[in-house]
Amino acid sequence: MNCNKTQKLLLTNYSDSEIDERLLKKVENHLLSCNRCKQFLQTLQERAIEPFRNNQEVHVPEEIWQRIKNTIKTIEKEQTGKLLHHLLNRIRFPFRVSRPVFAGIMSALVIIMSVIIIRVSINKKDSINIYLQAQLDFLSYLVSDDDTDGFGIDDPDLGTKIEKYFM
Amino acid sequence: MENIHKIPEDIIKKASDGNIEAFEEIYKSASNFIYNIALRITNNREDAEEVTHDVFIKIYKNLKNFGYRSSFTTWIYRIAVNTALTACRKRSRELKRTTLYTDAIKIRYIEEIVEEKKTKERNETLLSSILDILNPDQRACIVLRDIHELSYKEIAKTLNININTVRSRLKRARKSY
Repeated sequence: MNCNKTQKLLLTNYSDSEIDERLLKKVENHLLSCNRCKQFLQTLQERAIEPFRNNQEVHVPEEIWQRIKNTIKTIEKEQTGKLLHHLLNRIRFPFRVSRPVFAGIMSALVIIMSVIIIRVSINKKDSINIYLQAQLDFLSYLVSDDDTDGFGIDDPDLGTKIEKYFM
Repeated sequence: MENIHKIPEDIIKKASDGNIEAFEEIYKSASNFIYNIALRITNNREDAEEVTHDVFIKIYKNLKNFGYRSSFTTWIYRIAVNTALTACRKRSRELKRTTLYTDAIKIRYIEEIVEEKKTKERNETLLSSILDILNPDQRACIVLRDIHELSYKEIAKTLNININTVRSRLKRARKSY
């Protein structure tokens, strides 16, 4: 294995322990015989690997949570506002149609209502006429002397003498 | 940093139903983890705070859609890294970098620091200087590999790139310091 290939592996797989046994042995054998690569590895460890391994955890500033909570509150308010706005829009929808369309809808409604009212009133007139005719027939029967009228009551046999007497 | 792996499923469920106390539990377990990823990728405290805030808002908004297809930790990694990368790109658009000259100065500065005895503060400065040389994509790979010790496969999954790209970014990043 040459120096170029070795250094490439030292920079990546070798330093990160992501190397298979076969390659690892080759790299180690090369390092035993090459001072330049040995020096390269030492510098690499010192400058590029160790500073990160000695990394100290930094604590998050306390005020961040308060900022996050405030943003969440604002988001929730906005969401509630959006929901209300949406609902209001739904309610307002019939009134948001353009004037000509609204006028058309209203005219159609007026026509339909008029037709219904007229038809109902015609039907009512017929039933009143029938009722009045019946009443007139009954009154004319009452005032007439003729017993053989349209009612078909012609000297009815009521079954007893006393009833006949009163009639 | 390990607390993130211990978030119980019922807490996640409650938080996804809008329970703010449950969400605070998630925050307590994951905030340092997210802040540290953000800090290392952006390499700037102000940006890291902004990213942490944005990541938790994204988690709050999308928790309902989290379908347990991946682990909660992987999901959070992905949101955190992507948000941090977006912040970096935004900043780099704002500040045009004069890379070569400043990089040369920084490398010399690192060499000076290495010479000194390492203390916590110096290590922090060294780390910051190293990260400053890298581009955001390389930084994300280095942070996930060297700080969070994710495998190549996990890094590829988190960043939605293939393993060869992960290897190539790590190689270029380590070569540059």
